[in-house]
Amino acid sequence: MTRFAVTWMFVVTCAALAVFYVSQSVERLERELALQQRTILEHQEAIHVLEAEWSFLNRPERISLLAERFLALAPLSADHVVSINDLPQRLEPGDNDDVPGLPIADSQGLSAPATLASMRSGE
Amino acid sequence: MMQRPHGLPNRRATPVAPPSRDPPAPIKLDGVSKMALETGRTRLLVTGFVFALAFLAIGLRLIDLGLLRQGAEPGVAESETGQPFNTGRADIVDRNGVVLATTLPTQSLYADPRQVRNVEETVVALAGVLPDLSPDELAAQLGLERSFVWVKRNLTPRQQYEVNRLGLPGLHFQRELDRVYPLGPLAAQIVGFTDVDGNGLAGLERAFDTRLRSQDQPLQLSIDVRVQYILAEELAAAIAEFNAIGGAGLVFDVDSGEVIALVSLPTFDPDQPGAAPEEARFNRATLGVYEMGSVFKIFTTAMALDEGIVDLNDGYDVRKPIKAARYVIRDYKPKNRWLSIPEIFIYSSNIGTVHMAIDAGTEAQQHFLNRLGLTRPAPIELPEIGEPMLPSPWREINTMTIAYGHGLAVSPLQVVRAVGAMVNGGMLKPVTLMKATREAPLYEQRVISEETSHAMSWLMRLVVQYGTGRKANAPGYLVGGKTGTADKLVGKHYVDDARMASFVGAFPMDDPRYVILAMVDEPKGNDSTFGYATGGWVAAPIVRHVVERIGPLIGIRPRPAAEEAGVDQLLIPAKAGRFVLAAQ
Repeated sequence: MTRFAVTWMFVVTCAALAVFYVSQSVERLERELALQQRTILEHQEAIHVLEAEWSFLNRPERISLLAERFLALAPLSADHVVSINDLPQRLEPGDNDDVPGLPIADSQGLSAPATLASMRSGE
Repeated sequence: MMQRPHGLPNRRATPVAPPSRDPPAPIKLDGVSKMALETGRTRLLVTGFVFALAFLAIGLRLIDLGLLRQGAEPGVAESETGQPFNTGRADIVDRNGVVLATTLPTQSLYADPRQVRNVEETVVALAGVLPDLSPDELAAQLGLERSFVWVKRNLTPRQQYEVNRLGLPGLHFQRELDRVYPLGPLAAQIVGFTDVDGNGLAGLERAFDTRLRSQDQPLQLSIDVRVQYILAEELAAAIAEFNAIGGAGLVFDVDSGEVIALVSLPTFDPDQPGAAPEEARFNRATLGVYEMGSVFKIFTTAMALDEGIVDLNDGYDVRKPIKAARYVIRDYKPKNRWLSIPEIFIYSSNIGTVHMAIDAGTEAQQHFLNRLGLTRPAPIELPEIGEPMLPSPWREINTMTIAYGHGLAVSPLQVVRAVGAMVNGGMLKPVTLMKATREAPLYEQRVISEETSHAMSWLMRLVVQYGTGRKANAPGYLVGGKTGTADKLVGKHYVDDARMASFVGAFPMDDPRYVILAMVDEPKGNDSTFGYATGGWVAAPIVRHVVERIGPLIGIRPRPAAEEAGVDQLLIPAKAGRFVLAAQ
């Protein structure tokens, strides 16, 4: 009888301790969760502000000023766009053996970028 | 109970109990007592059983909840504090997601006058940090017997820091939300603005006020800020060059009905709408209605072709000016001969066009313009929509003047929509500022036949190749269009030196994708244009520059010169076989 009661009291104490521990952990986790959520909100707000700033810094007039100042690029004009079919075929080595001393591009009357393109497309 | 061992001596010594009581007889209960005991035991059993059942049920339920329940409850706990960041008013973004309007947290400065120790000192110190404050007003405010007065709302972080550094008592900050327009005046006419409490007062801010408040998702527009910027820049350059008072421009997708760019100049800063004059807030592209001049010849010619009044091989003698009522209709640059329909269109002959309108009749013209949506306000999301001005009554003389774009005022938005239907195969699309979510609009209406639409594309291309719109020719992009120059009505009379120069173009003409309108208000001719301030000199170059700049951006392939010439040949309709252009 006594052993029975002692066993149960032990079990009950263990259970109570376990419940206490779990509830403490939950409380700690909740505090952590609230903290994380506050951080998330802060980050979301920061992202929101940064998006507005990104848009502000990407104003077309600003980009065009910066491009003018720092890039050696000009707006694309119609004759800059060439179809792939307009590019010359790759030259086989040996084709120009009969014209010694002339670079390949000159002998074919090709401009330098076109030659470059034909070399790239042959790779 | 303990058992007594047998054979204990003292036990033997005791006298033996009488035989009648040995062995002890079992306790015999009589009927009544026995019954009561049995009932008690039964009740105890039943109660115990019920309790056992209840505990068993609870135990099973606990096992069920603790171990077996899985699908019914979410695996991760959700908390009420887990709401995402929300400003209470959704952003407005362009078709590529660039933010046009957003709400940002700011700090507003208020004072508690009862805590302010020295009003004079506080006012002087604040005026040093916030120079746009009025010291007298502030001093009066701080003298009041109140506990709250606004000093200045929506401070920048730097201003907040400076005020904090003053270390004055009685000054406090209140976190507020302020509507911010990062791109400034660029899309001001479209986006509109709000008041200090975030109520939409103009533009889409006003039209979508409820939607912006109730939903978090950004409102995505059809506007492309890059195209918007290019159009605004080119228009502004032309306005400066020709010393004009304003201008408007539109880029319109003829297939989806989306407005890609909408510019009205002069414009204003939506962050400070109050600082701009009334005129700057006026949206010329949608609210303003104007007589469009020769641009209307597109519609007159399309009507005459579509109704079968004329075909491409017909023509009119334009030697004699037309006299009607007290008006005389002349050509701007008379050709003094018979002109074919394409020539009438290319040289923008008023006389020839009026002949077409007369032959079609007033009723046909009314009906046709009505079908193109030119007689009622354009259905667009903006609250600022202009009501077209129609002649009343609509007599034959009105039919004549409307044929070349006088006597009927419409908004530029209505014009691009109708011109879009002229070149896209004949379908009038709904016009929208919202990014399209589907390939084709939900409803569209056929207004002219596909054949007429092809003929109109060809005619508009000819204007740019050989006619009044040559300055709009962006090589490789097959631009087509029509110039327009309308004298402005001041009071009741047309004034010679105040006009509206416009150009409506479309490109590429073999499969038109975009309609572009450029309009300049009261341009003055200069030396580079030999004093001319007409649509061909002022507005056409704007369209050329815009096409050249936006073509690569919006993915339209420019054709090499040889290919372009080949496509131009293909544009000629089969019915125009006999047509020979004098200029060619």
